[in-house]
Amino acid sequence: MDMVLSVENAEKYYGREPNLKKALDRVDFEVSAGEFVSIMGPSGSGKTTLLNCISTIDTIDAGHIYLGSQDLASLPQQKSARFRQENLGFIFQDFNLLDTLSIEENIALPLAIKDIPAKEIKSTVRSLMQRLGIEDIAAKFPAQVSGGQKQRCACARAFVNKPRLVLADEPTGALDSVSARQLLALLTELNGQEKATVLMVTHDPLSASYGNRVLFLKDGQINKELRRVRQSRVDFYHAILSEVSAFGGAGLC
Amino acid sequence: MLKKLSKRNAKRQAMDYIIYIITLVITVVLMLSFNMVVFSEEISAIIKEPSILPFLIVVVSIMVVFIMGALVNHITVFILKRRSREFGLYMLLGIENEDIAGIFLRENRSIHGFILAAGLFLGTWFFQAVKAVICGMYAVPFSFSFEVSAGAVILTLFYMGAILGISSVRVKRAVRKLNVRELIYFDKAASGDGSGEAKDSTPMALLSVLLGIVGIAVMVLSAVRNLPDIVNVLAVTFLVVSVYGFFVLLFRRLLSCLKSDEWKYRGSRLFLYRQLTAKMRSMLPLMAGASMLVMVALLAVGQAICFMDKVDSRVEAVAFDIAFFKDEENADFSPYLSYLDENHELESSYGYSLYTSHDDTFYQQTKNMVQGKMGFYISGNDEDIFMCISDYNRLRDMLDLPQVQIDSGSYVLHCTEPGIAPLADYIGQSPFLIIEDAQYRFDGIYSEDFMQQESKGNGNGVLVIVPDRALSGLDFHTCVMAVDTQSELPLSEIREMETIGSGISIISKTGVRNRSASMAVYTVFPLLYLAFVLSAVACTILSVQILSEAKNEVNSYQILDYLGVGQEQQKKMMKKQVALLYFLPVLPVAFIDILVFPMMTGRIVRDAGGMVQIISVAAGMKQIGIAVGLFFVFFILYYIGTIMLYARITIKKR
Ligand SMILES: Nc1ncnc2c1ncn2[C@@H]1O[C@H](COP(=O)(O)OP(=O)(O)OP(=O)(O)O)[C@@H](O)[C@H]1O
Ligand SMILES: [Mg+2]
Repeated sequence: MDMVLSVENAEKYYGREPNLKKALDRVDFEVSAGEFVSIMGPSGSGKTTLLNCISTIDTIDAGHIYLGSQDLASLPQQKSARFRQENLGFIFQDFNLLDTLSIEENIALPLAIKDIPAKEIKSTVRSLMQRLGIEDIAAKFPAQVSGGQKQRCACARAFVNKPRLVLADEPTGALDSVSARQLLALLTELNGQEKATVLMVTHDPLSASYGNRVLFLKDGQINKELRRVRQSRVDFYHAILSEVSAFGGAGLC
Repeated sequence: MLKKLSKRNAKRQAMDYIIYIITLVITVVLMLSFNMVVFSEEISAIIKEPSILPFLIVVVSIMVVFIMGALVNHITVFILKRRSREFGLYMLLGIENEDIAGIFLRENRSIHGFILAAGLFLGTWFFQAVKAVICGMYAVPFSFSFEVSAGAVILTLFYMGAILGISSVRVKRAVRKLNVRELIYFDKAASGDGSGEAKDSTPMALLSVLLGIVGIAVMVLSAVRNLPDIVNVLAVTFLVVSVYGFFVLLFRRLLSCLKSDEWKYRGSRLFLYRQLTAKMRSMLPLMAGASMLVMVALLAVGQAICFMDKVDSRVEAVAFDIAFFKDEENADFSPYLSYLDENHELESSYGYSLYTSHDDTFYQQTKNMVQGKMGFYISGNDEDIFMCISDYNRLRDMLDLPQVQIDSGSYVLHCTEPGIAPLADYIGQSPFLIIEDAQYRFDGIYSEDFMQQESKGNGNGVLVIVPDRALSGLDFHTCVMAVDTQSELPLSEIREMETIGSGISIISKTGVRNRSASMAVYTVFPLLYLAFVLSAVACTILSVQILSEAKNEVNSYQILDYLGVGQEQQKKMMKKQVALLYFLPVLPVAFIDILVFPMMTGRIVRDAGGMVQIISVAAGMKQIGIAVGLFFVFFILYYIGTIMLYARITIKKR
């Protein structure tokens, strides 16, 4: 299968001597097209840093990150914005939506930025909203809808321009368990239907169990990987749980 | 501990409200330098005559105290709101309200101290510029000499004390009443422009725009016929009010634009205009208020420049460098001529007599056109004045004007420009002049500068020139000696000549410049003072509001980052957004001003055929140019400051 993402010996440092902090330490993994990969790890282990480096918002200090055939290190700063527009989708725990835009406009924004004709935007956004069951709140503003609805909107926005890779940083972090499950189901569904690869950071084993692979990050290093092979989601969940407790579960939340 | 905290906060706060602080410094600078105009001995040596300037500056200063007091109050409450979380936290930690008020006031006090020190320092320098302008108007050489008057400083401190002190009292009271819950939720505000639930203010807006149209109509009407001042003031008030309507309607229009997918889904437009409407919702009254202030300010500057312009043109209208008048046939002007000869090389002189018919037909035609409209028109003479053609041509020769030929049966008129149309109108009806049974036919009208606007001169706005033989039918009026000198005389020499003899009136360019410069200074300075304070207040309100919201927008720009909008493009969007917020208030003002200025500065006259025409609009245009230019510079500076701080908050802080 073709590779969407490959991270090769990525290293990232913050600060300088004597306060040098190694946030990523020889991180090495690959994600192939259509996968749904979760990254787990305790707070401060470098999850967000890793995601930011992949998303071209930040840069690594050593090693390589390839998105498709593009080496991110050789991507000039001015082109990175355009690259994000065309290849990536994002979902975060908070600050996902623009407060001044309606739900529908929030979803349409990535397309408008790409200068796609208004008619096409309208129909794409409409059909996506119907599929996600949020067409009735289309005209509302983020402050007027629930957290779950907001995240579904964020999800729609991440997939609307058919990105190669969707990056999600604790998308369920601020949600109650019901809304969280709904969102994860949605993510899985979109992952299947839209053929978009998903890389999700989480510290919740249940969330991680929706994916087909889990990477465990600690002190900037990947020290374990779990794959879901002919396993039910519940079994996978238990496998993750036991791994987490072996890992030193307390550190996770 | 609390003191340290307070000090650090004051420093941090200072960066956030730097624009507000600069505005206060500018206020102190203006206050001090204008008060120094009143107190300065140098200036009073230039102006000489006792004047109402001190009184006017005090009046404007009191207005400024109220305006600035309102601003300081607005901003202080604003800062209090912005820092409510911090204060709420202090309260949770068990610090008494009194102490929190103390912290806040201590911070303010150190900022105020800085403002006063900086303002007083810069003010003494700015005063030199003010002095240079005054010297320029009086045509007195400017010399840089440093002076600080205790009176001006004390008065300035008194005014600033009033501005800052009142707000301190109010803050103290406000903080005392606060409770923790209120503070912690103070800054919670919903976003989005909530276009749905807004109450419909369109009828009000339409009404106020209608008022604006009425205002413009009145201004036009008042240019054609003389309306009482109160009507004009009312018209300006209507115009000012109509600005509010403009903003409400514009806001509605933007919202309805945002309903169209075709319109909004185009590049960064969606983000830009949603940001704009969201801000306009909370800023609408502020923008309208700022706009009104700018409007008043621009009108004030326009008037001020109009006055300043008149100084030169009035001096030009004197035409002769100096002229002596005596109501006595064959008067002897030789002492004056020899005085001039001793001091300056006397260039040329010509003595002549003016005559009168004891009638006032011509004078009555022009009277109404010249009076009012700030024409500097003062004269006691209300009879028609006559001159013979040979004297007339000699005088024209002195002024390098072409000669005029008339035959023995005709006459010509010489009048000031506004008089042309009504005189032409009158002559169309009765073209013949009768002097002692002889009939004279009208043969032309001239309007070059010819000393016709002062208390003495070649007629009061109009002069009748007749063939020499016609003089026998007229009575003697005044003896005149017109003189051209090598250079413009200093005022001191004019004063000296006045002491030579009695019964003589002297009209000179120098004297006229002095008198009209004084009048201009009385109007120009208070108006400029007011104008700058008003526009500084408008800019500050806008800036502080825009910048305070910038902090909440860090997230928005971060999201744009992720969505693939580059930093360069984000900066462009920011500039556009702030420019829109900043210059929208100027838009209706510019529009109204372009309509109103020619009306105020130009003159509409009716020519002989009954056609209405506007004259001296060009001068009006020049005034708009200068006034708008001045404001443009002022606004641009504030805009640049705002955009820099805005970018610093939203982009660089990440
Ligand atoms: N901008 C920065 N400057 C300096 N150090 C940083 C910066 N961002 C992150 N770090 C450090 O790098 C390490 C990894 O941070 P990161 O945010 O990636 O952790 P995380 O796994 O996302 O944690 P959490 O689960 O709490 O979100 C942490 O020790 C953090 O202190
Ligand atoms: Mg994180």
